[in-house]
Amino acid sequence: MTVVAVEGEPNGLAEMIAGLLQANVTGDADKARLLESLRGAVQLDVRDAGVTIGLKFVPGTVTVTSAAVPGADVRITADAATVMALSTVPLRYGLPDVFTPDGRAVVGKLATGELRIGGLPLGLPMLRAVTTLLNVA
Amino acid sequence: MVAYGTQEWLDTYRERINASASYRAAAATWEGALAYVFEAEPDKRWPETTHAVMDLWHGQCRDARLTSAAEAEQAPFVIRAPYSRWKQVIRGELDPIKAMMQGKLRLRGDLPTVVRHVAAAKVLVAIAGEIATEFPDEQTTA
Repeated sequence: MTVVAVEGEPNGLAEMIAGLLQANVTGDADKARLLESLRGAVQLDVRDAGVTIGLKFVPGTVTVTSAAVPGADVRITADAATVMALSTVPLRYGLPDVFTPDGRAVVGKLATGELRIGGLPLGLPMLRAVTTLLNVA
Repeated sequence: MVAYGTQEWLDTYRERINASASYRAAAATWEGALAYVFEAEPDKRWPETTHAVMDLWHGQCRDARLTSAAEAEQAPFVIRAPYSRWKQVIRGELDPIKAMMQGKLRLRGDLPTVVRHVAAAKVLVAIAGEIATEFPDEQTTA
């Protein structure tokens, strides 16, 4: 069984991400299995919205918080549009598929600094897992 | 000028949506009613919470009308905010996606569907912004 929980008073982004995760793990057995095996934490900062959330994974459960997670395995910093693009971009092995225009557009934002990902390369497996869990493409 | 939040405004909105090639393309796979809840702000001359429901289907708006709270809550997608937030969104002063992330617009509905149709949502907002709208807190008293 997989559980998506919200900790504390959620901000709008925390509610959105929790809803997205809940729908995805409920409707997709592969994503539910992925969550069953995941342990670690991810922090997501949406600069232009001034909103931060944390995702804390223990096997079978993800807790979404409206706060930073010190020591997160992966820290994703982006604007709101890029965060939405990360959820809709076609993936290949859990990362944006550079063989598609949308995938190249997202990867290109790494070069311009519009998308920053901290914690790599050690956090690569967690990054691939969380992008897969949040993806709706 | 069309008074905001009236049936006349919704009729104009529906006509503009149905004339929009951008919306037709962005919402080609959208199915389902979307309810707007304009929450009361008496100090802004918006004394009562008002509900509207848009019957959106594959890039077309089949109906747009003021409705009851009960019917609005039955819609598969509901967006609610105080009157003045809606005004900011319609005027392009507040990005709807950022507003949702900040909790300034509150959304209820299937999130994956909404995320897949962010472009359609932005077009809906842009169309609303093109309507010459008279907001009640800007009306001059006779």
